[in-house]
Amino acid sequence: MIKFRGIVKSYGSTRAVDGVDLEIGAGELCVLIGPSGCGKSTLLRTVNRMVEPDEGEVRVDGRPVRERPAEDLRRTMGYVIQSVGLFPHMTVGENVAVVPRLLGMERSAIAKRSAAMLDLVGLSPAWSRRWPRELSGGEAQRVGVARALAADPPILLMDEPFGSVDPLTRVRLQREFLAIQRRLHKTVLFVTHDVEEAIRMADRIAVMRSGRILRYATPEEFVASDAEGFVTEFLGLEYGVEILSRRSVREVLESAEGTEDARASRPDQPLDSSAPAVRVDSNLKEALGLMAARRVECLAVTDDRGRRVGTLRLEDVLGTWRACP
Amino acid sequence: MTIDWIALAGAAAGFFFSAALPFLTLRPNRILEGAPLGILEALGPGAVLILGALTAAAALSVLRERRPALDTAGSLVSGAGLASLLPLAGAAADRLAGTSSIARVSAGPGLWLAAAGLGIALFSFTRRLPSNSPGRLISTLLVPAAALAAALAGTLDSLSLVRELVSRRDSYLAELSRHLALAAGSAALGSGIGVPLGLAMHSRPRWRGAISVIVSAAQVVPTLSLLGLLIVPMAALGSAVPFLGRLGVRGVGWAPAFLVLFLYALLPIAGNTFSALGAVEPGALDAARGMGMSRSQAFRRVQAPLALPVILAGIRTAFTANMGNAVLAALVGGGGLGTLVFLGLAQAAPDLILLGALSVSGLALAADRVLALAFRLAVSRGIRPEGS
Repeated sequence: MIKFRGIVKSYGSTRAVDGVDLEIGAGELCVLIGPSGCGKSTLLRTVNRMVEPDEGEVRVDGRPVRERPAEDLRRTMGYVIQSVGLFPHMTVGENVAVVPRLLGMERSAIAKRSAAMLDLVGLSPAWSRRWPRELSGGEAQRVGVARALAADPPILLMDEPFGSVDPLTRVRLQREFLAIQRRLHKTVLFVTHDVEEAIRMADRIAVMRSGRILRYATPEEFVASDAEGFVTEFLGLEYGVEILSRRSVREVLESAEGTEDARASRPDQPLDSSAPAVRVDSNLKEALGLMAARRVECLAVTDDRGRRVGTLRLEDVLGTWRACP
Repeated sequence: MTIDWIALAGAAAGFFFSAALPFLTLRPNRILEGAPLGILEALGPGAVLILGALTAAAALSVLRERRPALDTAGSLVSGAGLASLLPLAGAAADRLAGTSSIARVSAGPGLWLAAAGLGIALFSFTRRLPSNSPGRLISTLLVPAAALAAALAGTLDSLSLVRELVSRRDSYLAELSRHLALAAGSAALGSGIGVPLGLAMHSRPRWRGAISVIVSAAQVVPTLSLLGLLIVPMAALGSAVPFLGRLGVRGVGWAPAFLVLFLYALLPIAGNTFSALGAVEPGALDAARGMGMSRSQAFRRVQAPLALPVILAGIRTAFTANMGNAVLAALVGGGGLGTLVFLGLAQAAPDLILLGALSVSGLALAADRVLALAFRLAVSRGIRPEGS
């Protein structure tokens, strides 16, 4: 879908991007991660020609982006940036309608479309008459996402889209965006420097440093590798724990129910009622956190209404471990 | 809540000075020295109204510490006091001048300071009221309404200032329109040229230095010197180009005054345009381009509307300042309200000076308010300053 080949971009004597080859499949969410100044934003901006590479080419659907007029190209790609970039002199509705208007869509179609987009990001139609300065940071980012999706572009370019909101709001926005992505299957290029965010969002992660991609793999593949060096150092030792946030308690229960011995090791009521309870839609990192906090190896799993639906053990979370030598 | 020290100071000073200084002066004719009259002599029982309003305003400025709601009462009291000054003075003048048609009754320092004190109290009380509250509306409209009513009823006819105006009504109106044409015309031309200059400074970094030197040079030379400096070149221009000469371009007259006012208008307008365009949030521009707006679309739909409030503020500054600066046109025979001021100075006729000066202040104030309102409507609600 998006293919970078031999991309080089220099500013003065510094090479911001120094020979990048990368391929992002259709419907994939690829996270570009790395320290500040590693060239990840520059690389992202070569896709919509906000930056023209000195060498190499970017292809979208097999066609070099250079062959297409920059304005036309950009209108087929949603663009979300950290500073949000909402236009303060336009209402929320007008902001969302910017690209549809540039594309010359009909007035009625635009109105319908922008209402649908606001609904998608969880804002009622009444919001469309508000002004950006009346929005909280999280609300503004939602509008930013709605605006990027308004013309139904197949590609989304997101440059630290949730970088400027508080951690709680950020996690909520990440969840909401993932839910949207599961429905829309956009091809997403997502820049961040936040490892937790990368783990939560990515289908694949590309770790960048000094304009080069050091490693490009799924989040799970990063765990399996025991390579030394920058990638491991950048991701941090806690990566092994962070990655647990990608699986939910529900997934573990569902996979465990399939196997005989798992069921055998799981008597119906192994715990007294005072056992700490974890919600079935929590992730494994949260479950592990609760176990560590309460010093227990077992958690009761409850559904939305607080009914007990199963048991989660430490080994369900961590898998089988190699014994100490 | 705290005591309103500003209102208290204004009202107290107003009370003291209006009681201690001459309130009105009665002169046998418009030039001769006159006899000062204290407030009690001048207004009789009406004095109670003015001194009472000042006392009440002072009291309310202290009492509001406990009950901030008294701000409405404070602004109404100071507004009513201020509004009754002019009709009371007019009626007193009528009585004092009697049947003499050349005797002049004019305002003394006591009256001016009473007005200033009440005005300060009114401003200080009013600014805390919500912009659409009835108290604020009534107390600000009271003054012009009372002045208009008194003028229409003929109560003011005996005041020296009004006599001065009536006796030279035709020339006053001619100078007024001349003044307006000079000040507003030069500011309008300044906008027409200054905005494009600011644009050029923004988009052509190489021209920036040259333009800013030209634009600020006029600002550095004092207005009067500039008028003097222009006499020779303008005279040369007028005789070299017969067409311009026939239009009245000479070393003196309207042309050099217009040129100076135009040059003075350039800096606030070009400067504001330049900095407004540069101050537009980079994120908004990046988003505009990244979403597929062409350069000109990004300028028209995003950059220009976002820069508009500051550009308009520069235009407003230029119009307001020109209303005042246009007084100097009279020095080179350019006409305008300055003519009245300088004539009054030459004749030692304070009322004539005052007539000119008050009219100029009124024009500057009116230009500022009218443009503020008009420009407010021109700016998107999303970026209007709140509460203004």
